Amino acid sequence: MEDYILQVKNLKTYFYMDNGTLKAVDDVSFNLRRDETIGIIGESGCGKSVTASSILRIIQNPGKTLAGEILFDDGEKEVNLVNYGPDSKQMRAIRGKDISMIFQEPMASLAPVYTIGAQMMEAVMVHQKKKDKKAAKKLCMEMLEEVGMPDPEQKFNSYPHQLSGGQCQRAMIALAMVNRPKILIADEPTTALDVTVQAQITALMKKFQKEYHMSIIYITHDMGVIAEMADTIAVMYLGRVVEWGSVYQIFKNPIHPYTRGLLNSMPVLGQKSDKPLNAIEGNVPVPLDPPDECGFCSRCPERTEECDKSVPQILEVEEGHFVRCFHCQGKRNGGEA
Amino acid sequence: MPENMERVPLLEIEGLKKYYPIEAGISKKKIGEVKAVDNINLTVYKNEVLGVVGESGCGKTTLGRTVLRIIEPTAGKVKFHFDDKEVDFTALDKKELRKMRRYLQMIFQNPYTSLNPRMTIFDIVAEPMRLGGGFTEDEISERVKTLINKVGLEVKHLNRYPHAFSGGQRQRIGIARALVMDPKFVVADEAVSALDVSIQAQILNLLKELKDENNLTYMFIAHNLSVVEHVSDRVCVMYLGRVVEMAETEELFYHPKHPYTEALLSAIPVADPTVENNRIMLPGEVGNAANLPSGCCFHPRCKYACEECKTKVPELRELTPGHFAACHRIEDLKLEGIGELKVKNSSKS
Repeated sequence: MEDYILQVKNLKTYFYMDNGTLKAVDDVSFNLRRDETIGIIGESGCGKSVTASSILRIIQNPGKTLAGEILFDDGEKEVNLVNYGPDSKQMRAIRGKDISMIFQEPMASLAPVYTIGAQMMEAVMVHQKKKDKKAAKKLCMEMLEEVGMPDPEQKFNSYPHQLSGGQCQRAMIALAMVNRPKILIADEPTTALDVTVQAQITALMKKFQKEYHMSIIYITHDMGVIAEMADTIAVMYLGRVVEWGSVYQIFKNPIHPYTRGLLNSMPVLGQKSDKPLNAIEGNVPVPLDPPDECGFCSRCPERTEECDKSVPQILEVEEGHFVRCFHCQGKRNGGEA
Repeated sequence: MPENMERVPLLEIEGLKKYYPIEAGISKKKIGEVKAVDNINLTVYKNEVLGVVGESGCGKTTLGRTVLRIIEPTAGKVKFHFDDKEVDFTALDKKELRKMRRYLQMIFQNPYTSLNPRMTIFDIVAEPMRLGGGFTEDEISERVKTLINKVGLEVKHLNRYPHAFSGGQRQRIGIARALVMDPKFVVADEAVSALDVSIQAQILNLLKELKDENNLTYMFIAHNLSVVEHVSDRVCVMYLGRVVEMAETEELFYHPKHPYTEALLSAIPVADPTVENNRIMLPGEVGNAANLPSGCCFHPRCKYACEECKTKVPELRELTPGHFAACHRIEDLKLEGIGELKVKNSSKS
């Protein structure tokens, strides 16, 4: 029996719009082991952020998580988060304490009218039931120092607009880490940052993971960052996980045509050539009332009749490597199509 | 650029500066300056792609815009060579500038804000021709239709409005608009950074195709070094308004001469889990352009900084033919390029 801290099973989150049902997350499953990082990659609109929000149960109207299980093991017992209401006492106790999240745009996701210190203090006072403000502040200051905030004493009393993008992201991480979460969800934490600052932030997250034994769900569209951060990777396309495996399986033996297309379409450093890039044709469709077919079929170079008729099941092609494609059989063991 | 071709300068930028005043109080007293672009000298050759890289706030966008006089430069000259003539682009008056504009065009960063939502695609692409004048409606319609096919869209799309298109398609429209007047020089300012990976590849291929077809010259501004390496013939690295290094692409990526370039190269994550990265972690963040550090503006973050760096501004020097760098310690530093920085780690895989 594997020691999973989080198991997501057949999760479905749909948005009920005036012009149809948007299937943002459609039958997504993955597991997260303790101390491990799972990377969720995909292009905009593939449902990676909605998956994260579903886990924290912060989906807003007209969205609804209508099926599936989110089994969270807090070390003592296993609970299914789907059973808790978004505003329930149980969910509030978990959110921001056992599972916390770092958002994409650090500038936009901190409250602009409260100081960094006030926002951190709130998290501590609410979750650790501290009556003592002094002790809480001490904890916050330690955290700010740990995330490498320059001049933490002054920054504690600063408002978000007084900080740079990199500093805001550090404050965000401090805020997420102050309650020592068991799972950290990072939704494109470095996309808005420069490469040199991105390197600092990813190093920081790795350091925390080691120190506090936490698991990370790392959401990004950057294949480079994910190769460095993740242990396992789930590739999403149009609300579904199309391929899921270890970082080596995904990068060294990608099987789904979409994963291979993604890897081939990136310019690789040090491999300059005059040949055009292998772009994936077409655009990402909108999953509004999607037809019963493989979501990738309109752009897939290996499309056959079968692909138009039904949604392929996700199957295990080798140990720990799952692929959702009708043509994945026979491609195991490094076989290129 | 093919090696057997002679280099013909297309654009010569001399001492280009753009300072923004910082004003305070009701009287708008000037209390300081933001040196967004500070004394830039460079030459863009015909048919090449010059990549410009740097982090946010380094002045790369301002450089692209002052060259085209979308923003008026504070000082400096931009000489534009065409048809055996030399035109000082910065000295033109409004009327002459409008005439010359057709030869120098721009593709913008954000395809969601750079297209007027109230204009049809036809009007958007046709606007430069109408403004330039001298075309009949038939000619315009003919040209717009050719262009829209060239960028991979269809004639039936012309009557729609921008909101009906995805990011990648909008960027294609922006490219059609830039090319409709048959320009000689195009500034592509982060033209692919707002796009998804699979779409980004489509647009990069398109830009290359169009360049070969129309003998274009690009200034390709971007922060993504892998993309810049892929498209550029030469690369220029900027830091706080100044050029710190410039060289042919391969030379720059494999044999960087400036510590900032080295650090920038090492910070790029590699999409290969078996590659071990000898990362150089730069402390702190990009300095403040309103209050530049003394001497070499990179010295507070540079691990090789010495006393001289704190006081004296280094000049951009030519080290080997075509390779320029601005650093006091070039001679005694041995910097690592991507060849050494990204090492395959066989034990891990």
